Amino acid sequence: MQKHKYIIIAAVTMAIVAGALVGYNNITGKNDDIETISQSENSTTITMSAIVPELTIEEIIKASDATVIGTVKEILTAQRGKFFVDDIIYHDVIVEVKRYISGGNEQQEIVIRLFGGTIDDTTMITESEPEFKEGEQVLLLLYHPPEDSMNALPEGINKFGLFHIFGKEGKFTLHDENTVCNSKNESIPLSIIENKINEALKPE
Amino acid sequence: MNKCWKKSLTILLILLSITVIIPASIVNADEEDGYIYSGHHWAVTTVYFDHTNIANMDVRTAITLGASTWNAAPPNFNMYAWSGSNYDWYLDYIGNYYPALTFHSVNGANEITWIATYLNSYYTWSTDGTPTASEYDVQTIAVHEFGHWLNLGDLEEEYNEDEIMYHSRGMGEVQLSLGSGDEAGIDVIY
Repeated sequence: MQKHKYIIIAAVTMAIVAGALVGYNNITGKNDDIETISQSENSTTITMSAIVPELTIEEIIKASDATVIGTVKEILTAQRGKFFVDDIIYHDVIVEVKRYISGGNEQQEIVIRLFGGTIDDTTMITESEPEFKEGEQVLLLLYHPPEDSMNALPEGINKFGLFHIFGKEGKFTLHDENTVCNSKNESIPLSIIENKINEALKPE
Repeated sequence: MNKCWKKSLTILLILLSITVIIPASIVNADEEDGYIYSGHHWAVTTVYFDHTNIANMDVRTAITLGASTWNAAPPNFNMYAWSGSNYDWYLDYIGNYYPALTFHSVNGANEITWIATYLNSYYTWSTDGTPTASEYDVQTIAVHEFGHWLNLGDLEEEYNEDEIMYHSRGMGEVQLSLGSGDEAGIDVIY
């Protein structure tokens, strides 16, 4: 023990320092992602930071052009082009519409256009945009962007089928036929959301 | 000789733990610390922004005041208006939702190579410090966005809502003073 006292002292010191700091700080996934993406010498990472408006769900519903229930059919590869801002990376999510709760039109497949994605060595990260998975059942609060703010449309989609979403607050995941989860993972009966939509869209 | 070697190894291991573990924990600081550090950095300590893309002089003044809030804080990093800068502010339509967006790009060495902020013309903006319930205050939003210029991230937990870097702001709201987490963040980074 006496022979190795210096090594023991060093090991204990490292353990105390590491334990105190790791216990105090959670290593967040997003920081790990940023450092992982940026490791390649020739890579570029673009981060989009968005301030989120404080809006009630009723206010978002009133501002929406459509609310739909559907299934995420496909997440398209990222594109570079105009999406409100010139030369930005965005990606499209194709949703197969099961039914429109409000703002119905003839589109059975719609496109949700979102900031972010990876093209070659450039990645755009957007933590305020919702994430989608193929096969996911969703309820979405959506609006049509003005025509002059859009870039090319996916094949088979016209301008009436292109939507943007109200950030993470515009996406609910269907737990089952009767329950949805919001962005904070809170379960809400679907009937409550539908009632809010109907109330908010009543003529004043 | 053997004892000397062991002493040296001990000192080396202690130094290693200080120089590696402590910086790693700072880079991964999160909500509980009242700030989030992106890990990105400028190669300089003074950055210039160009807001002359915005025609309204009162908006420009409010943006400059937003930068001044951070300039007045202790660490030696400053942001000044200059029309020759490639780092721009805009007042443009950017959708029906976000009041403001800041984009910044970094190279493989985590150095910032470009940054731009957009105030959303979809909303109505106040520049006199007394926004109505249907207006956003330019200076309040500018202070927050300049926090991103300083590489601070958005805070999402409600217990951080008094921090400038809290991720959400409402119309009619004025928030101009740095919170303890905001100050701790820039103190660590710079």
